[in-house]
Amino acid sequence: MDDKIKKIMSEVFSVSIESISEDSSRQNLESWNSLNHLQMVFALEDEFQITLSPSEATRIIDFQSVKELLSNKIT
Amino acid sequence: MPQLNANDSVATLVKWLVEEGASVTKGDVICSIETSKAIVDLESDFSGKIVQLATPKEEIPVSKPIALIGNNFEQLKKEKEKQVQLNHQDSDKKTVKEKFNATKKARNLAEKLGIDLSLLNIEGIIKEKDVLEFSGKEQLEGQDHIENNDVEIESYVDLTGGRKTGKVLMLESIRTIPQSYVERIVLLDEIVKTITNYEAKKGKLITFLSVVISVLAKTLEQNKRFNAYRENDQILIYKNINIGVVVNQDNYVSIPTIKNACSLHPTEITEELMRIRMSIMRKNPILEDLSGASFMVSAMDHTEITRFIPIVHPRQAATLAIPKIQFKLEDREGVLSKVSYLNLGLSFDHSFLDAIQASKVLNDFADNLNHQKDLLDSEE
Repeated sequence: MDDKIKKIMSEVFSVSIESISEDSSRQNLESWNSLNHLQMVFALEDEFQITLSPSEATRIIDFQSVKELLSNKIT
Repeated sequence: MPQLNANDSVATLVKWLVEEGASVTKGDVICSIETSKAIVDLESDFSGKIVQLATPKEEIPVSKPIALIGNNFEQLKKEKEKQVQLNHQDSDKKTVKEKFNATKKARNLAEKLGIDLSLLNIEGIIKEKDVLEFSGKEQLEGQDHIENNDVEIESYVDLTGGRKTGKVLMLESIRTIPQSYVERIVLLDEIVKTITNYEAKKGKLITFLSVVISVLAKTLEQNKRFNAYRENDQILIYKNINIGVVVNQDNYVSIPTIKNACSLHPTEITEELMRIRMSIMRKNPILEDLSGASFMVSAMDHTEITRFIPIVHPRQAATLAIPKIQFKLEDREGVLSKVSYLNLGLSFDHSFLDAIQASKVLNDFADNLNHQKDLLDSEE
């Protein structure tokens, strides 16, 4: 799951996959704006075959919160 | 038809004041006619029975007879039949352009600008100002009637959806709202730090745009004339503060609108914007979410644009411009610090608002931004 999340984040935020870590967040990814946030939400939905609510989408603020949300949704 | 006005090549018959076959004397008023300047009574130059050659509302070229006057009424009627036949032949030969009733100045200007008078759709006499007005309108409407044979067209793209609606709104805006613009720098260091801390603490996204909307709503409460629009000589102030955000998503322009923005916390605004934008991306937006804005924000903070002048939407007073957040180095007590800021811009309807009032809006916004920072800090 981690690798898939990193791949999505690197593509959406236009950074190398190596630069994405478990510490990646809105604070250290300059291109994490509202538009890219939305793109990431839809990329996650596609990749993991889930549907996120607006409330869930606003719970995503860093790598860890993405991982946590997906774990809850998939299991 | 006499030449009553030097600029007119035609005049319009308003009504006959004597009946067909009536006896008239030289100097009697026989009809009233309309020139480009006035409606005047026309006197007879002869005495005798009258046969009318024109009908009310008909446009008659200068020097062309409008009636026959003589003693032999039957002979006059035969002469009228001949005239009618000749008129039909003439009429068929004339182009549509020539049939239009316009002043000489209007015709000359239309010819100079390459404007077909038949496109003006004006009842009565076309004047120079009508041609000028149409010329301006024509240019605004995409120069549909001006050919440019020097440039080869590769392909045509039809405007659809939001782009088409936007075109209509922008053209109406330019036509009806005299617009002006003010701008000031707003420092963002403190609020950006607060947003970051708040997110980390609450584990919930809070976008800069949602803070802008929240702060703007408060600012509009203090400056009600900016949550309004002008209609003729009245300013109509909106009851609610509904803030629309112009969004360009995948080249699809839409306006998610936050209703009653004053009553919402920035986190609620973030979620509401998320809900609307997700519905747009899922291609099932609710029309109500995309309409009813009383004020507009044009957000370009996700681009590299550092300054732009937005257009005020029809039936609104102003539009706030949010360009890219920038950074600069600032000497703070001997230490160079990286400071974030943006050029906050405000386009406004100058027909009822002035630059001082607009500047106050931006100053109030900056003050309220600090206040919002304090509010969010206190929630942590």
